[in-house]
Amino acid sequence: MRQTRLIANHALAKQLRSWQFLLALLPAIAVITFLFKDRYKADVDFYGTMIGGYLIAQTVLTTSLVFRAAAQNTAYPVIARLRTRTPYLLGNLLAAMLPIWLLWGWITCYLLGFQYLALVRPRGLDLALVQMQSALGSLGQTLGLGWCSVLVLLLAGLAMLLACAVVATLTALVMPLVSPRWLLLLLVSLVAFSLYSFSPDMPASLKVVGQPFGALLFPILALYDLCRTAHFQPWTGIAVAAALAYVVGGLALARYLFAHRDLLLG
Amino acid sequence: MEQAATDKQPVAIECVNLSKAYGDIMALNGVSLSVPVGGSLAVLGENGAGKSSLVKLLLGFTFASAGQIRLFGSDDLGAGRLRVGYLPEQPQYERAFTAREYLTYLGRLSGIERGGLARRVTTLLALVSLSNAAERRIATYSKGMSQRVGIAAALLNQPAALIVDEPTSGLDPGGQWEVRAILHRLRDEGITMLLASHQLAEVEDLCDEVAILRRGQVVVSGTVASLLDSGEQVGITVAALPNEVAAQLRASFGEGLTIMGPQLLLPVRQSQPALRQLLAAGVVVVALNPVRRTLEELYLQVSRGSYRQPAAQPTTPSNGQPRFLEPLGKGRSRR
Repeated sequence: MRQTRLIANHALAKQLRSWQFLLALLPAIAVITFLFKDRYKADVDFYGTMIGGYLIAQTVLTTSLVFRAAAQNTAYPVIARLRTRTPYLLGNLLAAMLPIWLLWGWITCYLLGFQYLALVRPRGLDLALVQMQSALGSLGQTLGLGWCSVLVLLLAGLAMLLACAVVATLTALVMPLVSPRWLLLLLVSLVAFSLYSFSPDMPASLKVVGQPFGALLFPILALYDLCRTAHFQPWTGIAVAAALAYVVGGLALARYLFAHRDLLLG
Repeated sequence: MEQAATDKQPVAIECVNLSKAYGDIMALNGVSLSVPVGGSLAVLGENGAGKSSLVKLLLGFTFASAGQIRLFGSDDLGAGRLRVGYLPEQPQYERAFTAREYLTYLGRLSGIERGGLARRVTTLLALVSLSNAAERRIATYSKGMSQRVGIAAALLNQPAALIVDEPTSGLDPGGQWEVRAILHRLRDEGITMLLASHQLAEVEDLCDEVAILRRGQVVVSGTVASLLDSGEQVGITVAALPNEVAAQLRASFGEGLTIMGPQLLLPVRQSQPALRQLLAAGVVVVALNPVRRTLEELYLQVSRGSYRQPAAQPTTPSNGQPRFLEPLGKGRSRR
């Protein structure tokens, strides 16, 4: 764990000292500037759809950059000091995830700040978060309302973080440092086929084969739905558990592949 | 390896019948080598001969297709590798960091405590003459300075053995001298060293033993001294060689004889009759020496495939004589 933390710290410091840091910072500033232009429209649906989409894209970008940097031959003296390669994998994954968590925290706080301003000076609100006033006034009353809106927002945010974790794990899994190219092709084909299985144009003969593949995307789609609507349903828990299984299973597979891979770094 | 078993000498690095294939290309094919504790072995070979493949296997960056590696007599390579320092070939160090930051990071990864680590880093920076540049970013360093950072990094965890891959590759003569001087000092301090190189001068200077790789196979190995002694020719130095005696010798020994001023070069088997003839003619013999070839000559013979094992020399790995482990293979190879 200590080595994982050290490697993550170092990978983050490396990002901060290089131009690559701007690739994470500039889109975040753009999102804050443009997406929150009409700040009082920032409701849960907006939060889930826009911010969720942005964070997922940023996760793919950040993970790719971190693992690309990790695949240089600067890694040799580091890996030579490790008893197993696992800390190197986890450290870099952590370094890819930390900026996402920070961005998420920053954007969420920013959003909540304006939500609070909206509560203080309401102006034609369509916010679910207006109920926050009740939460501040009376806990009992708030609980009586069901999900506190702030809590809803935060839970939607947690679903968003879980979705990012799934995406980061799968991105790391298919990076050249970790796995052979055929795995990337297999995973992309699998996702494409799964998405196609939702299309009404899919031939009936393929639907039989396609539908089980479609089920593979269920946790991702359920999480997206959860982020967007913050509407908790009985099967939501299954989706969350399945997403967690994706993270754990993806990590285990990545760890196995990385541990048994010839490292010929450029 | 048989050698280790018979010598009873502790072995630091050992590989037995090691093979590595990349697809259908054999980078290494049945390589057996060992480096005793405190010893130094140079692995020579042209580009693509398998030197870097061997180093990567020893350090666990790649996995063997066949064969076995033992470090410090143990099969637990994960633990053994923690006692090995590694200096990579033309390393790209973390250019955004200063040498002190980088070494501190690697030292903490090696589990060295903060207080001791700061002292160790300062000592190593002094050892590699980088104290004055310790707070500068590595990006501003010359190649030679970067390589010295690598040496300091390799020594951080006080390794019992060093694996050095082309340490002076790409350095100017001054940089090469500096790096060699440091490695020389480390060898004299008793650190086991495996040096992969094609710089013959540094091999001759730094290592006790040499193994020459060709097409992924060890063609010849042994101590530097024994390999340079060809065992095939003898030099006879005389005070003066009258023309008529020289003519008689040429008539007797034909093309086997080379006369260079007062020195005669002859095959070993012809040295006795030649000596008798010289003494009978009243020529004063000043010296009789085995002819030593240079490492460069040996290397060129091996790399051109013209090297032949001298018939008179036994395959006795444990007595300091050359070991001729494998014949040239006919299998698929990288080159």
